[in-house]
Amino acid sequence: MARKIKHRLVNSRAYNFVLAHWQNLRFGGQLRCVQNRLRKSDSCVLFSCIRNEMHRIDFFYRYYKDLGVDHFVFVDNGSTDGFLEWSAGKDDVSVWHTDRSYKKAGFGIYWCNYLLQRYGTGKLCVTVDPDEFLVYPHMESRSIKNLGQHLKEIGWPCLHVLMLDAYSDRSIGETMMAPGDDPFALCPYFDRDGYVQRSNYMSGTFVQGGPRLRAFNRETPREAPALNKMPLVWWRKHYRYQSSAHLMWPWSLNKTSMKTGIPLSGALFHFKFVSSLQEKVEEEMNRGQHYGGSREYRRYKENIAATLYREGISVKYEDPDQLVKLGLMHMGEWI
Amino acid sequence: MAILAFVLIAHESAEVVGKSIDMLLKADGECVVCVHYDGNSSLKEFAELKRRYGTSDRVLLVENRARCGWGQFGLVDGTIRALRLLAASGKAYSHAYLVSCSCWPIRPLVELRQFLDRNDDVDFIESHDERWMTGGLREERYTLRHPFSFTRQRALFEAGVRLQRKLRIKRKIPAGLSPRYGSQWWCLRRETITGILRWVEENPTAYAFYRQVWIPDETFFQTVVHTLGATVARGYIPTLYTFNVHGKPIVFYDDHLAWLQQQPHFFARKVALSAERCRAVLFSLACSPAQTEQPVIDIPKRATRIPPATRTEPYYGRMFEPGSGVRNWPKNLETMRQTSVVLYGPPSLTRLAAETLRASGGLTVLGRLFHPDRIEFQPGRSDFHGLNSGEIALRDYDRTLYLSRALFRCPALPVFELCPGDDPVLEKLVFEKEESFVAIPLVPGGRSPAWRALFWYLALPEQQRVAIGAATNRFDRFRRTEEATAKHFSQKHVAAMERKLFGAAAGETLVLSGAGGVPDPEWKAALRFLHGERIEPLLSALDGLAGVFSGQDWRKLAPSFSEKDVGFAISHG
Repeated sequence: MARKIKHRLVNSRAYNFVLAHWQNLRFGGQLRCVQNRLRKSDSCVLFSCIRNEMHRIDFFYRYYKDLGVDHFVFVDNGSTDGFLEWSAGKDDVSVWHTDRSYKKAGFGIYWCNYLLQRYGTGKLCVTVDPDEFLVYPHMESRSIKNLGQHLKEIGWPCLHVLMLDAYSDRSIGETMMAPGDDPFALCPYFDRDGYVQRSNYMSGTFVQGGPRLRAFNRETPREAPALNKMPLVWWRKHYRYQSSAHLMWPWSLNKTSMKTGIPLSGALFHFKFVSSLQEKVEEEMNRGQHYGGSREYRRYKENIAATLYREGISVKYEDPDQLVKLGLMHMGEWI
Repeated sequence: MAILAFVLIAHESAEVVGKSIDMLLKADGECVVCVHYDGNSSLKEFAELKRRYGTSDRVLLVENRARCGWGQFGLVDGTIRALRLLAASGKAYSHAYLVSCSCWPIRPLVELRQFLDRNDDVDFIESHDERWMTGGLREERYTLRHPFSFTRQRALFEAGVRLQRKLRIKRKIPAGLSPRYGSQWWCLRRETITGILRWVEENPTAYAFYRQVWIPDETFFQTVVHTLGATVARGYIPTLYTFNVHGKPIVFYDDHLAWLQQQPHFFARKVALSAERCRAVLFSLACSPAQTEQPVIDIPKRATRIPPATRTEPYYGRMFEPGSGVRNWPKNLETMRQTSVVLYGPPSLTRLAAETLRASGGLTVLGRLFHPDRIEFQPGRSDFHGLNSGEIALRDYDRTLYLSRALFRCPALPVFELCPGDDPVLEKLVFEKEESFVAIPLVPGGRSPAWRALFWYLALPEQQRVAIGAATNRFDRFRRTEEATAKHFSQKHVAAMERKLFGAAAGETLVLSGAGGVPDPEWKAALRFLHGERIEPLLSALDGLAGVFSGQDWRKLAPSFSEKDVGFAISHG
């Protein structure tokens, strides 16, 4: 009975309305604007929450700039590696700063939700972590705005993606990343199959798989992290990310298929398994700022010496067409 | 040679419109461009256009702009205004070609002019009856009034339609008009254009009627041309357009360049504004003074063409497949596109069959994939192309996925062993899904139901068989077998499997010892029909397998049922 009431409450519009406003007040108040250079003409804006990611930021910035992102909005959660100096020199970067708890802010998404609602409404918004790189069909010749236009035409508000954990053929500890390195060259491998999906009418399709299932959660597959995300959204005022951008309110956004079939979907390369992970794991274990008592980071610590590459499962990334052929991504009607 | 007058319907910024005008002027040195700029677009942009082209004697700008919107009368009215301006200007032209800023040439315009010269006895405009429309309103486009915009005032639009349906209000189509439909884009001869303008002059009420017709741009010119009785090229217009299942035009990008050049059309729409390379290459092609290598000379027969696309066809479940989920065998098997051979029977028999098939070649023979304690691939191998025999938790998390992964990794036709108790749901499905599984039941003794006890006895684990063998009396052994079977495999499952193995409708089986013999040729023919070429190695191995099986003696496997009974009289005497 209590469960039923809770279920009704969590799914009610009124509750979510109040919750959204409360979270915006609370977490929006934690943000201090360092520089706001957003212009009215920016139609595609990227939102990201970062902490000491200077070794990735140049490639990240270049990559999304090339895809056609107009503006970058960063939440700087207490970086100490000169990020503010870097961003001060960029015309198309806005920064909000906070030193408050990452965990309490729903692993950064409440901050992003606040900024998305305030500055992303009506725009094509990309919300990714700095180690995530969006891939979609035809990306060599078509920009992210073309993709957004197609989504609008088919009446689909967001792009569903599968997160692909990329890794190298050496152990995690030996995969060194220097500032400005191309992560696609450093970690070119991903799992070609073995993605377990469960579809649920409310939460869309829940996907698990990749090395974090087969290597880190071999005996406990239930605990493997979710790999489905929706990083590209035509943002509307009442939209909200939930549980690390794996789910969205209203629930109808989580639906992954329509009457005419599965629409366009993409992939999100996730470059977590590099040696900076080792330092990060140490730090995060001490901070205890991650999901499930930093359970995931404990697993990483146990497996830092492991090689994730496995003959027969791992394949080298070539181009988006390869992912379409493997069935990990769909072209839908965007031919 | 034909002289073209392009009627450009535009609403984009002056820069984009300018690019289109410049392209047309440059690609064809003799053409005239008559621009109708949307009344909803800003005056500033229009002023910019006037500044650029006001003095050009090859560009005409419609001063009195109509307000355009998708599916609205403005598009027709704007075109008519442009045609009037063209007629009033007295420019020489032989054909008027309607284009927009997303139309882009895909062949030299010289080739287009030669094509028009050769086919100067027809007009290029689509003219279909009602069946052309695939969905939404059909006849009601005409018979209802549509004062609201479909794109901006959707709710009002739909409410209006509902209200008029309810009140049974119907407009009368003006006398003498029989509605025709087709794509908005056309290329008409001068005399037809003159005829249309005259028709508009003479029939002001009929023209006004179109103000409240829905999507008049897809029917006004088609209907008028039909009324005028002009000869129309059947099913071909020089503008290439394609629609996707959502009814939206397919937008062309850089990756379509090679495909576009092969199409027997002269203009394509919509070519994306951002496809700069595509536009630049096609522009230089349009300017070329000679024909292409494969020129379009006669009117081609148009078929719906869709650009080629890589299709997602994985061997199991696409990503984000609706309804897929763990532990849902029937649904998941639907998405599995793999034929496999299943050896079903007690472990000792499946092992024997697997070894025989392994020796015959042409097949990839795997062991018991669903053994409760381990995953058996091939003898002596713990790894099978990345799959590991120790990953039981992973296998059990999504068994269909695991099965499909194992089968996909087989170079030849896959064969695997399945024993009672491995996966009750799959065991039943193996006999039901004939398209995906070739089930080969292996039965000791014979096909008569009398042998069931022996089947289940052999399927039981070792220690239970020992316990059964400990019984001195034959009746006790049968009873113990029955009890142990029901306990170990569940009564319901045993009954279901017995129906499939020994029931009246049971299919072909391989029998250990005696009665077996050569498999039924009809069965083989059926398998060949269902699975085609791929099944041949199995069919050729099947005779050998049947021979091995009929040569075996079940008594060796089940000594406790084969030994002589100790008589009642002796044990109690």
